[in-house]
Amino acid sequence: MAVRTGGRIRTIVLALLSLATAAPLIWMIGVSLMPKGAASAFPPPLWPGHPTLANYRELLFPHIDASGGATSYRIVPAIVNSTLLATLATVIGLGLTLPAGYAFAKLRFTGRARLLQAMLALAVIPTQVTLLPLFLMLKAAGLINTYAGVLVPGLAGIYGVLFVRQAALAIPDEMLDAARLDGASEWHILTRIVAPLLRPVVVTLALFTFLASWSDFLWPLIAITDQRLYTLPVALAAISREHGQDVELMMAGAVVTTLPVLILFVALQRSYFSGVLGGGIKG
Amino acid sequence: MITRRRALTLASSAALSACAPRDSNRVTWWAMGTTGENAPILLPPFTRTTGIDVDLQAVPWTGAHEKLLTGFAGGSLPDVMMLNTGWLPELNLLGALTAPPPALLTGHLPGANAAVTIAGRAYAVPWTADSWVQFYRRDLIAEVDYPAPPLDWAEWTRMAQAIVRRHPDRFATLHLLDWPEPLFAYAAQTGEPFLRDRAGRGNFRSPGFRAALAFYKQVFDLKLSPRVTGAEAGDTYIGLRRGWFAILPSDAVFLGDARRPEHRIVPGSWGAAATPGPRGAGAAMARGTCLAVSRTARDPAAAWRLVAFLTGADLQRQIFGITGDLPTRSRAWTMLPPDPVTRLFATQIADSVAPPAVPEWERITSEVQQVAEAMVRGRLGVDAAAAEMDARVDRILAKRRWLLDRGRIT
Amino acid sequence: MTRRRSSEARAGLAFTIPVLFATLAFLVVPTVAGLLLSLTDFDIYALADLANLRLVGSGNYLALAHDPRFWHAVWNTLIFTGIGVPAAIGASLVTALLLDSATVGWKPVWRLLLFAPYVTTLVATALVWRYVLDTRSGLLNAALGVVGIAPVDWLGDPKTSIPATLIFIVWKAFGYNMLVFTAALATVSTDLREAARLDGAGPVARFRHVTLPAIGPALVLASVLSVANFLQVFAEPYVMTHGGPAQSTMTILYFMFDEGFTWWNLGTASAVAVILFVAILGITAVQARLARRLEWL
Repeated sequence: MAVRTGGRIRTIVLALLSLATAAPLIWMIGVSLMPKGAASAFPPPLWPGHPTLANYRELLFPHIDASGGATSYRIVPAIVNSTLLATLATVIGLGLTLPAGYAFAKLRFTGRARLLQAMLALAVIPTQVTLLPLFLMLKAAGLINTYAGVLVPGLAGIYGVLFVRQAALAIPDEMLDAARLDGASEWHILTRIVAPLLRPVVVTLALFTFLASWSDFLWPLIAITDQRLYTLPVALAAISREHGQDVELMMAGAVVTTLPVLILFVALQRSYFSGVLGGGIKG
Repeated sequence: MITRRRALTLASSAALSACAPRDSNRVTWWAMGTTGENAPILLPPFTRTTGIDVDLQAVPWTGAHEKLLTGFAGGSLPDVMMLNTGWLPELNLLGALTAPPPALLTGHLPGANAAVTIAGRAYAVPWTADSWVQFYRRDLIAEVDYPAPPLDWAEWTRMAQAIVRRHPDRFATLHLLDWPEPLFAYAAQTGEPFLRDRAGRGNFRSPGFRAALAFYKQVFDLKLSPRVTGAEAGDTYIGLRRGWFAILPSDAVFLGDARRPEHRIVPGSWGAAATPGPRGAGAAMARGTCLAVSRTARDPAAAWRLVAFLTGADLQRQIFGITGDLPTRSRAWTMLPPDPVTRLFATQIADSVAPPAVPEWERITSEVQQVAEAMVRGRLGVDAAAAEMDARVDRILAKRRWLLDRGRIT
Repeated sequence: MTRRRSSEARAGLAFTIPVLFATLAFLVVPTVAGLLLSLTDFDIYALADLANLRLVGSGNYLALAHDPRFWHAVWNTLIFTGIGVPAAIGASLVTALLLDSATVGWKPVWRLLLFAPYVTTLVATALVWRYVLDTRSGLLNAALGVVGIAPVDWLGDPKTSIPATLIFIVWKAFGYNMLVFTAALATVSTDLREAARLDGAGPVARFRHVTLPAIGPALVLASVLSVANFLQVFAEPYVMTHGGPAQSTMTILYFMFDEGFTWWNLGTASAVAVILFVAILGITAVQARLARRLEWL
């Protein structure tokens, strides 16, 4: 009996904590559906009385501004850029880290231990430290203001390699050796046996990489000067500098920027959690 | 199996090398602030007559300077740039600009050309002229029995205190703590140079600047202005309309903004007066913008055609109608409505102090304002703040002094 | 057999070389270049003409040591880290312990809601929080008003700007460590807990002797990573307060960004980057040593 009331109290505490955590996100959606100026009242309304999509229309489509000209916030191209860049970052990132992580775990080759130690040692370098020289290097290569320039810093995927290696260690050697006896090439083993086994880890890593690229702000802010190449966070920050007072419009922008990744995360949450929680290998 | 990987690499490298399309007959242009936001209206006639497409990027003033420098550092400046005239020395030092055709430099106000000239050569075409004045709510000033805000510090303070006494929950004016303009406007009134020793050291401990600093501090000490930054103040026009403060120091952008329906500032409800000085109004800080063409422009001729179009007298008159930006061409001034506000701006522009022509000026104003903010928040006295300003500015100018000593720059 | 070995070795190299190359080119080379840059006075004059570049040796480091702005940024970063790490780890631990109790219902729902902020986009949620923390019409002051607390000028007062920014940072980040701790707690066997309970150990003793040893390693790793992350706080104040009010949220990394990418003093900025790098390295080493002494690693 005591256990049950304890459980109930804990459930209520957790429910309140979860609600408090989610409140800003729920409010963000609510305000984005309010008519102009509604959110600035005191006390702030929690939910729109008459929901409207006007802010989204203004944000996403060309509209007539105060001086009579048609303007657009260029959010749609930014969505395309962000999606493209995050997808590229994910595909290239996994293409680099998955084979490497597996090789460090399971393939015997000269220098493996030493290379792995070097990777571990390099993991402590904060990427921010490299940004200044990287800018000069990319300028020399003519890659500033290109997609390639945005992608480059993310390619040194040490964490990805270590993450995949940790999971791949659990793969039984007999399985791989059996496949080798059957005459399978190493590439075949990687794509047909290892990758399916590591599915939760691959999904987790893919989601991680996608999210990191989608949300990255600091580097694209510097590496891109042409607004046609702006990513969503950079475009949103630029709009907020000019229209920061327009709370409802900014919240619509925040929803457009955040909702895609939230939906992606909810859809893949099972694999993701099991990947993070070291589920490692599919049973 | 390698072939598939190679295919993937090829595909990805193809995708990677895709960058912004670069077609001919297109001029890229960065324009700042309200002017940049409204510039699309100006362009259709230009494209119709020349066949040149303009790819316009509106850049907020707050991030404009860093964007220009990053653009230069990354080799990605646009063909045409709208610049704060004070940034010319910097971009010229970087060798980022080309000299305009002399024909574009005729017919401007005296002083407008001087502002774009460095060591005898012009590096941009003047586009808008500007100054810094105090806009005020007629009714709130009349309430305390003044016809207009007084022009000397002592009397102005008396008026401002009367306003605050009358409405203890309100303020007399709004000096945003992240804006250097109000402080520098007061300092310009004293006629003291901002830098000394061939512009190699700060001159902020001079009696003139310290007097301006003391006056600026007093505005906050007497609670004549709220202690807020731009981000917190929200929409300043709404604040003015609601009477949160009676006086808004600003430049000519106010003229365009006040006309906009969303700000709902009743015409005739406001007036403009010069910035107060220690003994009546003196010189104002020169402000204004110009159009420059970058050295990396793909088609300089097309870029200058756009500049020629934008800086024409008729177009300058049109821009004034949209944004309130004042013209630099004498002929455009003759087309303006002869009201007291434009007359005030005309007198101020004719009698202005140019900021020191050093590349570090933008950074100097920003650091000086940071110290001023710390002073206003009670962390430093006037003398300590002035000393700290000089110390910081001397540090910023260290490299310049080294180059001056070696005759690398003059 | 040897042939198979050699094909395995070849594959091992083929699979690792791309990542090793990327790491070398985009991490090692820039780090070394940054170290070299920090010994020069690379600035806007050098951008204009490389002849204006000087080798200044330790000059940048000495100048920073005498620069009150830098020390101010260091101090702010230490405040961020000193309050932020315990707050973030504490929030993660409390929620993980709650999620771990066997008697709680609807666990997947709470886990999802608590974790959601972690995957949101920083710039977007920073904007949201700017309005949540708004003095006049913000959600937080409205909520405090219900309890009878007067409105706080969260982002406008230099005294509250760091705590306000921290509320946002902790809100966004605690979900990840919560998951890690949940995984670690799941390894504590129920038998062990039951045994401890039957032995009459109170909740505090049970936590100390059963739970803590189980999550010790996870706790150490989380605190090492958290310290490193908090020492690198930048994007949150950049988006929320622009380092203000009165430079109160200016952090070391923000200072580096400002010197480097706003004013193009790459020499000074690189020196800041090197100092930050060494500091993170040193603090991590100390933490690892402490953990080893506690036999948690």
